[in-house]
Amino acid sequence: MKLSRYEAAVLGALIAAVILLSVLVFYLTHSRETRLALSPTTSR
Amino acid sequence: MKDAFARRPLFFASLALAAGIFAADASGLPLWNEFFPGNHVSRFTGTHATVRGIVVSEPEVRANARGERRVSFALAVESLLADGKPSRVMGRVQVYARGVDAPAYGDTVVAKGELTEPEGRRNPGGYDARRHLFSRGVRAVLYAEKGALRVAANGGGNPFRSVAIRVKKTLVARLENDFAPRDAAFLEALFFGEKTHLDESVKELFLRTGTLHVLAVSGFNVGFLAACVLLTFGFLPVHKRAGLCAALAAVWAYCLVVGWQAPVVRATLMATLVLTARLTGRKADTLNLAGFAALAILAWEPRQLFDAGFTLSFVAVAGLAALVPRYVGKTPAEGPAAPALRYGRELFYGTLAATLATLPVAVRAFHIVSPLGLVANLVVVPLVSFVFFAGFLYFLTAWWLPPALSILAFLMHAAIKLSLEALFRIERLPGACVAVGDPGPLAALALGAGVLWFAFDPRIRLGWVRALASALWVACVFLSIEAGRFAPRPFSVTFLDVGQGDCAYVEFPEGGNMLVDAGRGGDSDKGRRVVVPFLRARGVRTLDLVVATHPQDDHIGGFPAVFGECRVNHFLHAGTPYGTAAWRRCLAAAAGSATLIARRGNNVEGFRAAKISVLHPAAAGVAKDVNDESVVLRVVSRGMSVLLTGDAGEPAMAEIAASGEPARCHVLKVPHHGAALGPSGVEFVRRASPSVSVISCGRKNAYGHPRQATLAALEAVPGGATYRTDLDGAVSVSADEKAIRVALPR
Repeated sequence: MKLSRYEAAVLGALIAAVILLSVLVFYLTHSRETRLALSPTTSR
Repeated sequence: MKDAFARRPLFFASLALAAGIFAADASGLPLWNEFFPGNHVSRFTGTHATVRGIVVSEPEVRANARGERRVSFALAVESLLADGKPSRVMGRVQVYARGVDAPAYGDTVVAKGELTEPEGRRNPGGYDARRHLFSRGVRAVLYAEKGALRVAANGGGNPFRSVAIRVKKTLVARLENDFAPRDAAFLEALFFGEKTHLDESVKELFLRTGTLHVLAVSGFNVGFLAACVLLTFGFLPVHKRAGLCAALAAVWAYCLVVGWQAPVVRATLMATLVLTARLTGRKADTLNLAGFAALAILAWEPRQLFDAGFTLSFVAVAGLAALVPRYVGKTPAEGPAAPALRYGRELFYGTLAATLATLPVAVRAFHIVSPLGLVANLVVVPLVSFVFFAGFLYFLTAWWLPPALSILAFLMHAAIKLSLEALFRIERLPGACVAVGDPGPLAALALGAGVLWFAFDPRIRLGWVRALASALWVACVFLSIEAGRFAPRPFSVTFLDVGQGDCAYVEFPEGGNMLVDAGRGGDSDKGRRVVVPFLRARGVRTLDLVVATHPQDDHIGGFPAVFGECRVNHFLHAGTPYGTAAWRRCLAAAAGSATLIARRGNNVEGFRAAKISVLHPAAAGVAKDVNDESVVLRVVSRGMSVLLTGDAGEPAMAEIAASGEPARCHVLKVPHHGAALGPSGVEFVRRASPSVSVISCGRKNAYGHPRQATLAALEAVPGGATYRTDLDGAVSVSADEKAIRVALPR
């Protein structure tokens, strides 16, 4: 059985939402990455 | 809709009853079985008492590393002696005792100790003993004094239950005799829900891969047992009804043997109705049967609703009954491979339906999701089903056909090994288990409502579209929750109740987090029992900075569990040489993180909107006492300053004062669990002048912490308030632009 227009629209909207949200979460995660250092440095 | 109500009145009645119980609990109203008479044992809490009663649960025995036995059991109390006054009483008490022989079910026991109310949740995301005991009808707790527990008589209790416990012990002994310890522990969990011998890492493996239901006796076991009995009777020259009657007897006997656990009672009630319907030639509706079982159990003990095992069991069966027919669709497969294809589709959609239906409850109970749980279940469920079936044959033949055992035992061993190996491999894959935190009731509702919407939307005609849309909706909800985590938040410090030890979790307002210490390791590993559940409840998967103030076990023992759970970017400590096994384990666990060595005058750079200064130590390996090389940090953000002092002693505090570093703060983690302060310590507190002081110590600890002198010094601070983790549980202090707030778990 073929996908109806409604079914295609529901799947399309949900897939688009998942992709957009994934990109947003990926961007936020990497833009907020914390790189720490001691000043004055005594790391090893 | 009207038709649905009319066809499944019991199912909808059970939903209404559950909603009523939730509402009554939220508004603090007593439920119908909570109007206790004056002689109920809950009226005597807060007294020192001697109680006498009958043991009504199978005593649980655990031994610590020193070999000391810890025994706990439920006691139906008959009489009580408090303040020299004897009384006839009723109700149940949970008794805990150390270093004594465990009594047997049905023994009459006399125990003396402090009678208290069960404790609620002490840490966010932690175990709630109060809810757990209440759901089992236990309303008071008694910690027996040393040598103050004795058995006065034997042979009481329910005679059927006594026999069932003896049968279980015999079967467990047989398993332990015929199988290697690891296999025996797995089989005890699978057949009897008895997890005391099961390794914690194995339990964690099943939890992380979304297959924990396999180790909990439930409908899976009851259904399989009934099927095994029916199959066996199918080969015998007897009437079909004899098989149904035998299956009925078997499921009730099984329910008795595993000890009336709610999911088994649910499944047994349902199996009884299904088998009775088949005996009388009627049809049974699964949802209605589940509704009937729920009504019966909740009428008996409404607080079972707050037991995750009960709720998961019901939503799983409701999900299977409601969703699988919607997902499988009506197009039958044709050809010689049709039965296998049908089985495969039903297994796939059954696993998906159970996963989606239980997700809102499971994520609120465990705070993790297992995206690969579907794969793990598809692999493990058939293998475990085989083990269950082989085990059934094993128990049937064990007593009269010993040679058959070796083949069955070998096959069972192979299936268990294969299951564990598959789960280990799945768990190691990236994204196999994700901590997502508590999504809250609204998100849980959105998850469930969305799944139902896409499953029952009449405009969607294809089963696979319904299933895919439901799964995509779930992904959308979790991704939205994840995106919401990056919103601005207050600066907060949570001092966890890790008993006699330290642990503080810090969250910075514009991203970034830090964990300072992780409590004691060993028997009651606080890392695994307290810190990891807390981090999961917060949805923490990465820790930017982990600080070990000093290398003593009560501060660093819990770290290996934390390093195993989270990605840790930086590990900061003083570099004090210390040769204990616990510290070596900690350093080994931290091998993948960048190490930073803290020295006075350092600042930790990199957190936005936060400043972290190291006030101590100036050098490592020079102090007489390792406590005096504790890393002392001053953390400032959103106008709130926090002083984290580890176990700094008098010399350390004198050094900090002499160094001229700013020691004034809003929040002080009182040094060394509130040990006695000398002149330098009193001066340190006076200079710090904290508005909030937190003492992290264990209840009734052996060191007498916190000392009176310390409490007096803290009281002398004008406008200061002191909180104690031994009395208050976890203490959370947060600050935004407007105010500093303190929150306690109760």
